[in-house]
Amino acid sequence: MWAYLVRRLLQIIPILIGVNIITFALFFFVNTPDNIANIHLGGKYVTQEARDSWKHQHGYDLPLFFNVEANGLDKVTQTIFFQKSAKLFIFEFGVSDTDRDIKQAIKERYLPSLLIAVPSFFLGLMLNIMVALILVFFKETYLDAWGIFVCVVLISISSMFYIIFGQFLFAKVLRLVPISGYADGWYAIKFLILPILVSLVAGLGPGARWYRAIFLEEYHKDYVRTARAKGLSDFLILFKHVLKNGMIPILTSVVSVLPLLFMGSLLLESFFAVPGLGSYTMDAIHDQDFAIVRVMVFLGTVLYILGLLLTDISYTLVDPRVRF
Amino acid sequence: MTLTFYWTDILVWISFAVGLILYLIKRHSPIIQDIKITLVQKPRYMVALLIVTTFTVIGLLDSIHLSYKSNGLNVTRSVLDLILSPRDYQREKTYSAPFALRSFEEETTAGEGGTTREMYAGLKYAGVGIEKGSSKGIDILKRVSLGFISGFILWCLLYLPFRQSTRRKMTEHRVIRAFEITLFCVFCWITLSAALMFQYHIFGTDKIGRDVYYIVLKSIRTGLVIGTVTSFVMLPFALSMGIWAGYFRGWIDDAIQYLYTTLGSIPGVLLIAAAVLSFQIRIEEDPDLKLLLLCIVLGATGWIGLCRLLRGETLKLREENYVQAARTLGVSDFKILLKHILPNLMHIVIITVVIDFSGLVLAESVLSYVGVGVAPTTYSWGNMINAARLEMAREPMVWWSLVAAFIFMFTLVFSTNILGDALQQALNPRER
Repeated sequence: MWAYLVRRLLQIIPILIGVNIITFALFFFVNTPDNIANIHLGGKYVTQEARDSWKHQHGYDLPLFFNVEANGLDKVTQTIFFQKSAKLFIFEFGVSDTDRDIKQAIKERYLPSLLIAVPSFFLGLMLNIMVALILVFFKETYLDAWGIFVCVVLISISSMFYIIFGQFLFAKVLRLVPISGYADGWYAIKFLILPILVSLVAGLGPGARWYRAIFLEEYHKDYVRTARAKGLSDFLILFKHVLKNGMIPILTSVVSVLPLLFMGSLLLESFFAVPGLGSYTMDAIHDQDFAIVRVMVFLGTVLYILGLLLTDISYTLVDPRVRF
Repeated sequence: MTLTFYWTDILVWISFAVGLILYLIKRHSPIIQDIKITLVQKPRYMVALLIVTTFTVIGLLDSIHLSYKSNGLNVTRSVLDLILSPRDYQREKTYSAPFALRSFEEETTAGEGGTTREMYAGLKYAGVGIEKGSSKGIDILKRVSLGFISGFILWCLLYLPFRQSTRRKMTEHRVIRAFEITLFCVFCWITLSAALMFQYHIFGTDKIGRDVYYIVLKSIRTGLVIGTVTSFVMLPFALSMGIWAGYFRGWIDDAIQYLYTTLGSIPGVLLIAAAVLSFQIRIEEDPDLKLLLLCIVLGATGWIGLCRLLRGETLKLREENYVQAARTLGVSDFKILLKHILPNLMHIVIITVVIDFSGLVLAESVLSYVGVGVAPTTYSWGNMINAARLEMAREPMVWWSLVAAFIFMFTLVFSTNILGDALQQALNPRER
């Protein structure tokens, strides 16, 4: 098992390097440091000296890959690639283009993101599985057909409508919860109810439909037919056997999302003014703060790959037929 | 009067033409026959098909632009603009409610004797010749009835001659009935719009006084462009990479897998945001180019899913008898790919393109909100929703923009999803 893990980790390294190079190309080839300086200094009437001093201040005035003027190891380290991109590997995030420490900001902001993402995830999982099982229990009846129809309707509505409608109904009209905002400590709960609720409803459509398909596939297998022939009640079959076996594909695909919960939902956090990592990224994109966007892209990728690794590991844990 | 084509216009028409030509050439092939048989089985499939066709026609009408000089200025309008004129250039002062005759906000106007009053000004372009109150209700009633009657007449004129032949193609009564009713609804919608929209603002006006109904109709083209041009950009990448990886295997497979794993590891929204941000500095502030850029970026980041599917399918197809026979006989790889592998991948391509279409329309609205979508001046549902966010916070609330965007966007996405289901039913063998 450890040999497998080590092998997988080694496979990840070329991918991480590739991602680093791609993001580097995106951020520095397409968009020269001159342009970045221009944006942050205001655009039209910027002198070359102002640009140069801004670049020097933020470390953008070094050559891209290879520094011929430096000595020895500095030839490679005193370059933009090494300073900005390669340093991400050791989680040295540096400062944003507005001179704020990125690592500090991440430390302050990861908790609100998790507070929304983790409950939504687990509650959503349970809700979707329950609804899917109910639909399968009533399969080939009108309830099932209408259930699918409702799921497709739910999928066709943009998540922004859910957020806006949720805010309108529960916050403005019914005045049950505040429209947006966040507070520290236990007071955060009343601010988190609506985002989590909206997240659940928005995820119900695709989730229930997909899990229903998986459970239905399990239901048509021979062992279920045998159990029914032997007289076991449908209810018991569904909630014990089909659920257990259907959880294998569900869990393994869902586990890959776990690390990404850290990043928070861009939309939710922005609409609900929650100071998490999602809104951090959103603001950075709005302000065209490339330093932050670079870091978040890298983080997101690392977490996604971690998720893939978790998926592979969980395959081996739940399915005894899969071995290394 | 000269015909002007924007870049996105050209691409939309090319996509449409290619699709039409492919359909005409292949209409007797088993795939198309399967699709046709499935589509006439359920009422909802025919309804969805009609709705998507209507939206497509509107989008295409909006993709032909004419330039001319008017009062010394160069004016470019689309065919849809000309149909909907003069709503395309009329501007009220500010917000107004649907079917209202007065502005939504008070204005300070000079009253009698040099004093100033706060009052709701009458709208310039709505309710011309109607005093407020009951006569407005009667006028609306008259127009609605006129709309329904002319819709029925249109339905009789355009559909009844073809009734026999279309009824023969659809076997079930439910389907025929649904089709005829939906066709009637579409015609009535056109005639009702014509009867009402030039006298009233059906969905009110937005902050700078533009007719919301006009904006939401123009946004159809934006959604259509994003759905089709993105697929147009994505298909060559996905097809070539997927087929090469699956057929040639070896180092090509490894390289392509490495490429799409790496590219796919970057979270989607972030990659799109980074790409758009990086490239948009290079291009000038041309809204059409920005739309094109968005489509290219979406295509370049979205080919990965299809590529994986195609690679898997090609790996299976490679081992088929006829492929192995062809290779033994010495047929060149290129010919094998073209004649044996490619046609058998078309069902995956068709399903994915249709399903991705709805996903892309939804994604555009999210991306516009994030700020990396279409230009703020482009008409799109995303921009409407974005603006609606602030409008909803006003007291009293401005809701009509959001409702209009919701209705149209939901209708298009929902119909496309239904069609996607129909295609999956037709082309993917399911267990039942």
